[in-house]
Amino acid sequence: MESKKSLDMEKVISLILRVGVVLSIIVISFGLLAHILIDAKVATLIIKVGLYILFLTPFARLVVSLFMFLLEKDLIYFAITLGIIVIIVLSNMVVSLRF
Amino acid sequence: MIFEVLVVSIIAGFIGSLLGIGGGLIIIPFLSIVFKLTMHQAAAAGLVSVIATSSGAASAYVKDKLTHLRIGMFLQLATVIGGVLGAILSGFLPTKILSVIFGILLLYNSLLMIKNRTSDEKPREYSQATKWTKSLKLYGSYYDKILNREITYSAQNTFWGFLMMTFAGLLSGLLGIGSGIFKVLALDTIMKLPFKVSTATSNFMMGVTALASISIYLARGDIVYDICGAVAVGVLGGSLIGSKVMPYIKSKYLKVAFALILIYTSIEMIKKGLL
Repeated sequence: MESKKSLDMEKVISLILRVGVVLSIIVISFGLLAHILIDAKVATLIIKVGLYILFLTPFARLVVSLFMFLLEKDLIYFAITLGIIVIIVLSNMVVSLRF
Repeated sequence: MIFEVLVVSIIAGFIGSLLGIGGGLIIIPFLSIVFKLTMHQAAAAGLVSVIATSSGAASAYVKDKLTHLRIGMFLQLATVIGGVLGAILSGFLPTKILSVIFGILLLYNSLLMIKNRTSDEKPREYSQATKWTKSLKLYGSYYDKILNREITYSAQNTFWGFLMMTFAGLLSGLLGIGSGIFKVLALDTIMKLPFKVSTATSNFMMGVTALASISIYLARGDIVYDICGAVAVGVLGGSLIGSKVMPYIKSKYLKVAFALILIYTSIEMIKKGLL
């Protein structure tokens, strides 16, 4: 039973990573093309959007793992994953406020 | 300039995947020496390339069930703490000092590469799980295609592995690299996991570690979006080409040749910081 669930987890995580990377690379490539060919202002914005999709990819993986550990009732790993998410979000907020 | 960065990133990704080291280690000196970026901006671009390549590769590894998700998740706690600390610390260090630290690390990496150019895996016995590893579920198995049997394993020296991972995260955040050699050192040498599991799990952890560090760089405004975009696409593209070509390249002399170039580069980085 447990191995079946963690198999699903592996599939979902693999899919998230793949979709996130492919999507972000496509968006960034459009931005780069716009930058090189027409040097448009909008190019930087497109690249920025693509980069944020890339940054959100490992984050999405964390959030999905969080829910899957909860479904498996693995509270130790639920807490560990939650801790990781809290550290990332909090440190970003603290540094943002300081600068 | 964006086009030049793109071309250089493709080459960096290609060489990086042939040598089995991250594209970050190769692209950062280029951005710093040739394109005159500060070490902070170069490190941010390096982290972007780490997220792109590690997520791409991790997707395949996780599906092959070589990655131990729980070991990765548990040790990510260490690398994320280290990654945040390293990124914050880099804000207080001048670009020259970062350049010297980077140069020393690259030198160490290159020498290690020459030493280990003929690496083969020795089968070893894996001992029983301890109390720690049982309650954290740090054990598992994978099917080895070469040995043609199921290999079971269990993590040892969890505390020291965790400590080494914090250090790996610190270097990653400080310099913008994936610091794969220190992650594999923790998993393979200290925690005694099989080499294939170690490399896959280390790769799996890199995306989240780099995310923790880059969120600090982002908050500090050290990201040059156009260059980071070119680096992401270039390094990922180059490493994909590299992984396709790799099975056809057997020469260990090629590795040594590249390693010599990297040694030269690391000396340039150290000089840049000292002069």
